Amino acid sequence: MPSPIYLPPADLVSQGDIYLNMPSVVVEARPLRVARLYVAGKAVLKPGARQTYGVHTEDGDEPNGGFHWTFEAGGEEILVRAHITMAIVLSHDCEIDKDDRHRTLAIVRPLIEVQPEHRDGLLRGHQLSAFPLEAQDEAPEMIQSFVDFRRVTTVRPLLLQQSPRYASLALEVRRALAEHYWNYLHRGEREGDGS
Amino acid sequence: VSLNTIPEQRTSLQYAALGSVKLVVEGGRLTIEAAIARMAPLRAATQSPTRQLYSRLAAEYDARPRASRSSSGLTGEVNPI
Repeated sequence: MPSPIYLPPADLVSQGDIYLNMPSVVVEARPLRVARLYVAGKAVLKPGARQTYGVHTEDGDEPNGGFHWTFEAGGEEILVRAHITMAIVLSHDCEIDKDDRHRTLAIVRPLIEVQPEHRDGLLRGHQLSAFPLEAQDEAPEMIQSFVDFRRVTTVRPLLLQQSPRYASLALEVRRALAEHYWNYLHRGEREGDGS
Repeated sequence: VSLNTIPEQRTSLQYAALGSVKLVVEGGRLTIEAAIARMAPLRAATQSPTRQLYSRLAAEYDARPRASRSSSGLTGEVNPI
C-alpha cells in the first residue's frame, strides 16, 4: 500500500491541516456595503434569533459616528460573497505558533469541478494555481481534489478552534504544497534561471 | 457487484477482482456478471504522476533553507490587526 497522504489530525494545528465547512469570502465590487447591527431600544438579542442590520454604502450616507475603517477604530463589517467549503491551512507553523490573530486558508475543491480535459495536467502539477490532492480510500477519506490558491481567506484562530479538523497532510505532501504555492506566487521562477 | 460502484476516477485496470467473472455479449450489449468476493486496488507498479509531483516538490522544498516551526515570527505589533 502506498503511504497515506492524509492522516488523522496532529496534536498541533499545522500548515496543510484540512477543515470541513469553512467560510471562503470574496469582495465583489465597490461601493462596499457596511452592515451595522440594528437593536431597537434596550432589546437583548436572543442566541439564534434573526438579527436586523442597516446597510450603508461607502459612498452614501454615513452611519452614526461615521465609518470605522482604520485598524485603530476596529474596522467595519461589510457584505461579501461567501461559500462554505473544505479548506486547508496555508499559514506556516511558525506563524501559527506566534500569531494569535490570523490563519490563512485556501479552499479545497473536488477535481470533478474542473473540465475533464484539464484534470490530467492539474494532477501532474501543470496548473500553478491548483495543488492536486490524490484520493484516499482509508480514513481520513478524500476524493480527488485540489487546493485552489486563487481563493484565500483570513480567519481568526477562534474560528478554527470552533471547527473540527478533518485531517493533516503527510509531511512530504505538506512540503510539496508549500513549494507549489511558492511556484504559484513566483510563476515557477527560480533565482538565476533567467526566466 | 456493479461496475458503477467503481469511482469515476479509477479505471477498471486499477482493480483486481477476486472471484469469478462472466462476460455476456447479447444484442451488442456487454454485461458483466460477477461473483466477486472483493475488489481491491492493484498495488501501483509505479508512482502516480501526482505522487511523483509530491516527491519532486518536496525535494525542491528541502533543497532550500527554511525556518523551523518557532524560529521567527512577527510579534509586538502596536496596533494588532
